Amino acid sequence: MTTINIICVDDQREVLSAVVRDLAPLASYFNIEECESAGECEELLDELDANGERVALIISDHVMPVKTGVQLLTDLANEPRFRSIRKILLTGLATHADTIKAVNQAHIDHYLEKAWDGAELLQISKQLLTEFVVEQGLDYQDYLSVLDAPTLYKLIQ
Amino acid sequence: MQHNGDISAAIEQLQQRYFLAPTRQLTLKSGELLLEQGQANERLYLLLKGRLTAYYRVDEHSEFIELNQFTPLSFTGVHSFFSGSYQARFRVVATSDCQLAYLDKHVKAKQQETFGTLEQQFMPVIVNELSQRQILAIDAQIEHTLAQQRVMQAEKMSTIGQLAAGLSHELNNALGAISAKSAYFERFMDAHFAQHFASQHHYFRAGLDSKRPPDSKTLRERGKLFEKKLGVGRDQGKALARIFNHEDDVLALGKGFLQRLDEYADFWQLGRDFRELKYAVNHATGIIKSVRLLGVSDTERKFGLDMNETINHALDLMSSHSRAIQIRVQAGELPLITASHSEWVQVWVSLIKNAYEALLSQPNPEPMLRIKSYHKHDCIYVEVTDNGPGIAPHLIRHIFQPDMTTKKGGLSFGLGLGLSICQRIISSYQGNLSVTSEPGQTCFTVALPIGGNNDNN
Repeated sequence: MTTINIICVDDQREVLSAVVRDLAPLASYFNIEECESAGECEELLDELDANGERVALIISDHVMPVKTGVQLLTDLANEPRFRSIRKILLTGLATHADTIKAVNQAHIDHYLEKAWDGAELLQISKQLLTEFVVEQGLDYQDYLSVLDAPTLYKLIQ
Repeated sequence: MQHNGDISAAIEQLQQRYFLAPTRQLTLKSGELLLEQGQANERLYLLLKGRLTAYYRVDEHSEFIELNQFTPLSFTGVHSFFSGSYQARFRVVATSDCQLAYLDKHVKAKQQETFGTLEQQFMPVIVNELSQRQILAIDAQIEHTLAQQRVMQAEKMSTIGQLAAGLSHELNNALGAISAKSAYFERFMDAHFAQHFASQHHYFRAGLDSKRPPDSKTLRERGKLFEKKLGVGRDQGKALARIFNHEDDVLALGKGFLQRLDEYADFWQLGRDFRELKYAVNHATGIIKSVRLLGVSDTERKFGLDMNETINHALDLMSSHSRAIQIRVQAGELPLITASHSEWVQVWVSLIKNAYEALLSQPNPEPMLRIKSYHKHDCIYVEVTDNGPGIAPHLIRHIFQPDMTTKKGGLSFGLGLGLSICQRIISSYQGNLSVTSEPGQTCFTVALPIGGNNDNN
């Protein structure tokens, strides 16, 4: 069973650790990584890619120093190696223009506002992970207990 | 009025031609009236020495406002003389002892065959007068527009101030409740665990008392190292990296510990969560403080401000953040100035906060902030120096832009407005903010001229 990663990006550690807490039920099936900046996330992606690991989901904040979340996700959308990664933008402050860019250029899969609901974040993550597993042709039986059943049913019927 | 070279030459020629007659010379003492607005004037005056000032009033009931000053060689009464109205448009007063020469309306053109009619000879002077008046009108319009903008800006700031005050009151209430309830919850858990889960309680406490962890990258590397050295899985390596600095600390606890790691790590993380709850509340309270300072209601500039007091006030405000950092203040004797206390507190808070964040951004055995104030050449200087990592050369040009930020972590206000607001306030006092930076020494210098015009803008 290949290691599948989830990467959370937020420059504020309290937020980062809270997101990871919310995703704890996924931790026995997926490896959850934390990054405090877009740059660190890119570095980690390269490293994981070099090790032959997959990244299924990135949950990123938007307002961060040096490089914003939307910029990070846009760059990933344009990079063939990472095009299959599902993307959630989790933000407390994004302008109308940022949001449009997030949809049109970064092709985000979901937009969540802070303060977020932990259960909702987990549910959306499960749906996106289910899509990823099926799309990549992985054996979904391995992950069955953390996948979203209705999504799975829709995709494989 | 200032003249360019051509018009000066033209005026000199006209002086030679028309203004040498000893019978048409006049002296005025400082304060004496030359012309009264609306009164008859049949003369064209040429100012030879001294200074005249023109005043204008809209009607009899309003006050005279100063329009402009005349210095030699320049004409006065051009409009009344050449328009044929023979009525003074302005009140003109000698503002120092003056010598004048004049023409009256009976004057005849000289050398008409060479230079043309009187009007033709004086044409450069008339045109110059018109253009000078137009420039004055434009200046007045610009000044008027700027004044209006300042009023609007002041209104906006006062609205923001009121909004910020209301908002911060509500938010502080909510935060107070969160903070008090979580403290209660924490005490309850602490006592409960101590009584019923003695061995796990130790890890709960350790999490609760833990210092700010290293950044996520260091943790990841440490986790990998632990995986290798301790022969544990990825998740366990990660969990251990959060709790321990060194693999020997883990080994010291024996094999039994690793077997129960998941359980212990859960308790540690729970303690850590309470800790982070406190960080988050502090962060939010800090932001509210900054926003209140941002929408300062008190921008009134009053005489009697000691700049050193505003620096001390800012240091007080920032004291909760500064325990790890040594602060040296070298306060020189400063003259009192006309300024707003809260504006300057805001400037120092921004600069101090920047320095703190720079100092905490990288490990530093002896983080230090030095503030030095002194008075030299009619200027007050304040230097805020830190021994942090310095500002990268490619960033230094951009640091005063409103959306520039390199901040990360819990301290930051994070909107990247700090330095641009600083600079706006400082330049409104005709002051200047400059920065020099190299690794180990970054110095922001505020230079404030005290003879400066302290208009509230």
